[in-house]
Amino acid sequence: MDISHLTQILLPAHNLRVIYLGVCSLGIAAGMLGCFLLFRKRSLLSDTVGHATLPGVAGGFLLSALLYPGEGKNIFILMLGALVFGWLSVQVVQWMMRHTRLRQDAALAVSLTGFYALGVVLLSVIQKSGLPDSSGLEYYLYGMVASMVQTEAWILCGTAVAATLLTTLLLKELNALCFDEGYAQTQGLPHRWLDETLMTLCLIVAIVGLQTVGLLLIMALFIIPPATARLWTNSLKKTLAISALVGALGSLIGALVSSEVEHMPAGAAIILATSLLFFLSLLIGRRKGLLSRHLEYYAIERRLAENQYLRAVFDGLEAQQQVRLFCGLKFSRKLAMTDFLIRDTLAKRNWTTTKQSAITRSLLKQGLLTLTGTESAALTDKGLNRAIETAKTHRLTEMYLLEHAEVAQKNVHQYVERIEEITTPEIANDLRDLFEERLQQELIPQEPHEVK
Amino acid sequence: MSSTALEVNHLTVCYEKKPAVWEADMSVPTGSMAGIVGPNGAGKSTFLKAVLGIIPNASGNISFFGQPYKKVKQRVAYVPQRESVDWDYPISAVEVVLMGLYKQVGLFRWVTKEHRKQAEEALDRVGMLPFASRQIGELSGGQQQRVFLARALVQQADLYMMDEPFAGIDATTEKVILGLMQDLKSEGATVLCVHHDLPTVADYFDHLTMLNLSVVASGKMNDVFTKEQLMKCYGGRLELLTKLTDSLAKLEGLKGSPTH
Repeated sequence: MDISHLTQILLPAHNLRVIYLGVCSLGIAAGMLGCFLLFRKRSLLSDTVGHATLPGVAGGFLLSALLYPGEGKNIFILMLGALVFGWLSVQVVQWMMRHTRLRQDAALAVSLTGFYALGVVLLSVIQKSGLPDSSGLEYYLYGMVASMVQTEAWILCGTAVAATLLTTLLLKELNALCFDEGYAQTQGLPHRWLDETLMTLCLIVAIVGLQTVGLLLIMALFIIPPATARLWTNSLKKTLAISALVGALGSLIGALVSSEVEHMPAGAAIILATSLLFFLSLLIGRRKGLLSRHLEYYAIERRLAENQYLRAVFDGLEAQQQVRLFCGLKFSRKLAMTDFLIRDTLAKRNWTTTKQSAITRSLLKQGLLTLTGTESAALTDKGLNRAIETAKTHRLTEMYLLEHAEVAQKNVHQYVERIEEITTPEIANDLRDLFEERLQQELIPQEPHEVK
Repeated sequence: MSSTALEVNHLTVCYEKKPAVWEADMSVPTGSMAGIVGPNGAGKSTFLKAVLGIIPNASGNISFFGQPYKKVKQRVAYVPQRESVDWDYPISAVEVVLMGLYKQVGLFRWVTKEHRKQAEEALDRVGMLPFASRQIGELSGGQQQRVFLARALVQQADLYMMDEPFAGIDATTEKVILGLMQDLKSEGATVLCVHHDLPTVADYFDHLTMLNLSVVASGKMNDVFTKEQLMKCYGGRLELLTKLTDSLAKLEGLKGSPTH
């Protein structure tokens, strides 16, 4: 790719700029409205609508050939046909659910396949008839970016503005409708009107975008961006924003690729680009992303290991102090901060040397330990505090299991090892409340079971 | 203020032509703590939803404080069953509570700081203020129920209609909800509650409606919560009744008459 080619992509000619504006608008509108389809659990319904537009497009073509012979296909009649059949498919689904015992998934599948089959039959009729200008019809199936005219781009731009306006002005009403429709109804919010506006707007966007992305894949543009956004955030506003962004970005990349590579259907390129963004988010998304989950797991495991380490240190030092306590002397913080041999302390844990030194290093870095020799260390003030807290929570958990949950003595230890991972500060507080009286007598309770 | 908070006459609700509630009559006096009990599938939730117009009714007259529901919507607060919503929805606890103010905020308007403060106060009342910004899916079942309750509280209604607020919750939440219901009552509000746990019915409520398709009995707790009515409502399922006789005995004890 030479420089002039690059500038061509970055500073496109007027007709290309129109196209990019159009696909971006489509992505924004679909991404934003798609969020509400996802929340209302209408993703599959919208897919049915997408496929069901085929007989509408084919029928519209036949109609325009009949009404205006020789003038080529009239886009508006085609769109009108798509709109009618899209609407019809929803009615069929609702009728089936009301009057038969079919569940929604079956009703959707029947409607989708039935209408699509009708469309395929009509298409074959058109192809046999040899009507002029019928070659462009496959664009409606697979999508075509290059054929976008200025009018279409402006319509798409208008729908994007309308979608943004609707969601901004009625965000709280839409929020109530999606989260808890019954409640929204009792509040006297205009739920029916809102629902219909939302669905109509979705249908309009889908039909205007039909020629760009194709009816087979148009609904993916409504479904994938919000699904991607959900991997990043737990806030409604951010979900909407990210979804719009993903829709726009995917559409733009797809349009670029399809205009660069010959015979590349635009719809497939756009949806593939959007899917790539989805899978990328699946890996690195902040919320439930595989990587972030792995990192979180790793952090928990590490903290658990640190706690086990500190507890081992504390147990060892406590054993040394037992005699003192027996003589009626108080637990001495100063003595608890004397040095210990790392290897001996961790002998009971079957840790590898790598793990031992890794955790030691981590504790040193956090200022919980200080090295006193090549193989010995001592707790710092901060370290001792955390060691005491850890030991206390651990023993309280054991006491709870023994006394309240009636877990057998010999099983307690193995339970607690796992439970420590999930003992949140809240649970620790509850435990402290539960054993409040006993904690007043002794600051740190003794191990309630025999240490092996 | 009208002496009856809710009056239902000849309410019939159908699902695909099969009645789920049939010719139900009942009324709730203002200021009472009213419970609705009945076996599983007796139509308790359906009854509540139909009264609130969430699902259409086939026939019947319903009035709130002597007026049609449309006129007094803001005086009635609804607490739906916890299972009825998608808890994975991207919304925080305080935003759920704010929903109770949406009508007050008004169409095309945004929530202000003042509204947020009101919502936070309601959360504080149910002990959920520390969790205000948590995503609702991260809360425990009892905490979710308390958030729902806060959403109703913020509305400052005169009648609270709750669908099984005590189902599947922890002891703390049960205490909080019960305490709140009593506070509401002492403030003059009326509470109507679908309830599933018969042993606690007599402790929690002073007015009771037994529902099984139709209203079996409705009135003051002492008059309605009897062995005969329970037999009628629960169709003489004995294993349940043995449990009930205990709680009946408790009620008799409260009444002061000799127990059998």
